[in-house]
Amino acid sequence: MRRSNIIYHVINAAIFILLEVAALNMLRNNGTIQNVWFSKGAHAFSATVWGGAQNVRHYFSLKKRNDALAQDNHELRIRIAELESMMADSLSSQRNTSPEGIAGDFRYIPATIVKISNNTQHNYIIIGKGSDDGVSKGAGVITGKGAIGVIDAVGRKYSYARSFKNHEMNISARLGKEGAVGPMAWNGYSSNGAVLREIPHHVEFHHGDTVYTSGYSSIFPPDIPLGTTGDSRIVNGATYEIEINLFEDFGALRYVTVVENLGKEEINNLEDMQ
Amino acid sequence: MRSNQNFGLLFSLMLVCQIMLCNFSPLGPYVILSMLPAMILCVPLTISTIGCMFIAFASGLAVDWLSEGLVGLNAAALIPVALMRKGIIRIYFGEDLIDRGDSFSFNKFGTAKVSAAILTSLTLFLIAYVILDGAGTRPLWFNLTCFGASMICNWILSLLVTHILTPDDRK
Repeated sequence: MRRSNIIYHVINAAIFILLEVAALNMLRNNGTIQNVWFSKGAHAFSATVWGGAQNVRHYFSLKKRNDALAQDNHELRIRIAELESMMADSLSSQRNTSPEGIAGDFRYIPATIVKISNNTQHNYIIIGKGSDDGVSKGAGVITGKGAIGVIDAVGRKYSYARSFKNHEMNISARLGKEGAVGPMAWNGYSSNGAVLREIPHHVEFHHGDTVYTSGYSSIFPPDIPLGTTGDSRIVNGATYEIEINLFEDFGALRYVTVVENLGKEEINNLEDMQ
Repeated sequence: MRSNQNFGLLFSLMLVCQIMLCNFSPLGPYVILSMLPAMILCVPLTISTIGCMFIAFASGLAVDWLSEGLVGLNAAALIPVALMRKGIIRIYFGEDLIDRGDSFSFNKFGTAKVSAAILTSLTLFLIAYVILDGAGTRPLWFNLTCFGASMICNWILSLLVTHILTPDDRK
């Protein structure tokens, strides 16, 4: 009984649609305004349906696109590595012709990382350049995306650097290029997290502001981007402690630059005199 | 119960009247005079919804073709009334009437209930008619005015049509 009722309603609906479509089609063919109106409606409907179908198609082709992008990324990484290698060779050859390798107050020495420790509280880096290449104790180790460490011991061909991911390391950092300066240290647990301390609480900053080296430490040149600001809290009611998301991925480090402040000795002497 | 044997003849005569009304109506663009919704509502319940939809389609087309209107306009507006005919009757006159295949009349259900049924069918018809006639080119105030004015005029006309088309047991 119920089934026959359903069939009856379905037939009713089908005939209703059939007759209504026939009537509307006649109306469309006989009225100019109606023709335009129906065409507009039909176009809008087909556009919506087509758009929906495209979205569905895009969704199902995402895996293919992801695979293609991953392949592109892989190829680009290889090219970057090749270029960095070429740049390192080029800088080395320049250093040979101009042994000083000086730019401004700093001398730059490209180097490759021989060994790196990332999983302890006292991490270190060993680079493939030593005293024969002009590396000296107290020089900084940098990349384009951050300060990596400070040279602690120098051999003839290799040097040992304390990594930034070390509890004993502090870098003088600046909020923005003109902002307040404070010491920045690794947060002790995250692969790309640091903490910027001693920022006066009247200083204004926003989530996502970039932090740079200040240039006050006599180790690192100024304005190397280090990371961006995250959450902050006021400590002792006087200064901010700001979480920093570092740009550099220590796990993927391969090429670094040793940087030495040429005026460091003079600055240290002046400090010792006081 | 009066027999419905004259219904076909009366319906045809009403259809002729409607065609003449469409051709010679002195009213302006604000009033759409139509007896068709009331005529469809009065189709005997022994005729199924499908049959009623075909009657509505044919009547609408006849009026459209034989008057100076747009072909398909009355048909398109009248088919929904035919589809909802049994539903309207069920709401205002009860399921029993449909089960018995009986007809409604002023004497059985009173003017108020019959008027309500007529107004519902007119609403369905006029909404479809005004929208399809304007085809999105007329402002809302025009459509509302047209709908209101037509509703009043058609209600009076439909009461008369229903009175003629529905059998009266007391006679």
